[in-house]
Amino acid sequence: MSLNLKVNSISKIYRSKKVLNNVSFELNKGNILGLIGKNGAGKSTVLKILSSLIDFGGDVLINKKSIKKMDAKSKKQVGYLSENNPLYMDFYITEYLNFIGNLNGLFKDSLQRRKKVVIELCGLKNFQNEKIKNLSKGYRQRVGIASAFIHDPDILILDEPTTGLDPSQILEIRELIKNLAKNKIVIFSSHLLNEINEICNKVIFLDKGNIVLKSNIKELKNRYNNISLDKIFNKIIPN
Amino acid sequence: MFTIFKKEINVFFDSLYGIIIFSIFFLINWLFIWVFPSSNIFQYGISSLDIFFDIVPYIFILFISSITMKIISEERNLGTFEILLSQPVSNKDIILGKFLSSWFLSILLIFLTFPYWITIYNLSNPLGNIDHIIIINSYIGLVLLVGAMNSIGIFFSSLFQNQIISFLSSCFIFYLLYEGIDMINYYDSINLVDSFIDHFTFSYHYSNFTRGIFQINSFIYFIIVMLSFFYFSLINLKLSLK
Repeated sequence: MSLNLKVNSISKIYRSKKVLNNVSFELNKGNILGLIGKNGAGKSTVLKILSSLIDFGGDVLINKKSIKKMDAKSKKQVGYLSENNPLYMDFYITEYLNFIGNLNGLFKDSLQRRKKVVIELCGLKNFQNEKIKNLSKGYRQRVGIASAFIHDPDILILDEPTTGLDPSQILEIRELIKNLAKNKIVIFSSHLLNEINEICNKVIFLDKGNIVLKSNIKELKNRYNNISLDKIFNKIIPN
Repeated sequence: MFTIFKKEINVFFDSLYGIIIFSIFFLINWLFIWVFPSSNIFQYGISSLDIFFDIVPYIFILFISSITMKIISEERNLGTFEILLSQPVSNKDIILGKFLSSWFLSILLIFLTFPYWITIYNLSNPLGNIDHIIIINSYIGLVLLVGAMNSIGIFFSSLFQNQIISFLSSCFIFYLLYEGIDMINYYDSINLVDSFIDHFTFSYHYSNFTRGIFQINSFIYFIIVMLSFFYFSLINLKLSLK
């Protein structure tokens, strides 16, 4: 089945300050989009809008259907990992995944099946009976990622998913994202430009709420004679 | 909605907080109803639960304020409310799940006071000489009263991120609606506002039930309060997403 996400001139005003200004882009199945920008560029705002967490101007269409007109149940199409990765600390991992699974309409066998998959993929097998509060930051991040795709959403939105992970965990999570993206759309933000380079096939540079560059990674690197993404970023958005 | 309801109940009983709140509720009740000389049932000399039904709303003012202050305020503080908002559940389901869970906890407490009824029954002379209709109606009134209180408490929890402010606001409004408005009548020498204002108080409608009368307008009053504050909580949640 085809999958299309069309973001049409989305804008956001916080306390009379415009933090996002006519941002538009379009993605299809298999696309991994990296959002890059300095702090306050509007990356998290874009991701929150796509997750229906905040009101906004403009429109977002999933398979030509506006998310503004979708009912709450249609949010199942989207899995979201927030920047701060809030979790219920007193829950056991399995208890938390059950809770998120139930909210997404997964019960009994289907829940057990999906739980087994995400626990395996996120490397949580040896910790599933631990309380979340007893986990390291890296493992908490894995729990957050596991909960974001336990219901197998078409679109996965990850706000700085590798924050707090050690180098080996970062590599594992990158692999995981690449594997997940084969039949999904993945959008994520990161401060690590080599990470975007490694995982994404599309990239957007945001500055002060505006898109300053929107490109395919290969095309971009060809255009800039294969210099690193860091250098391209510094050229386009100087300090 | 049921998933959120279940989660709230589990969180309450999994924590020391829940056990402490339940224990304090029973301790205060027990002291007032069976121990303190000024209010105990033995001194009262009549085999009825009137004293219990007079005292318990005041205990619920504290109990419900302390349950509901956490229910949204804390989640918003910790950021976990975002987890709920990003899931395929409507705002209505979130608020309803939370409201029903705190109402259920209050009803559970009420249910656990049924042994008082049995005790009074056995203490009466001759045995069984108690008015069951009054007790049944009083329990119905109490269930409705705590429902209205929970709905208001959840509204304040959605309004303030600070739990203490949420707790104090709920306590204040509960007291005002239960007894505070009645106080105005003391200053109203010509009783013009008396009967009119009375109709807006919890105590007026609750006392209909404790007199053993099931008045449909009192029933409707409590339902309207519950629905109104449920709706206000929804509006407030929607505004916070702007």
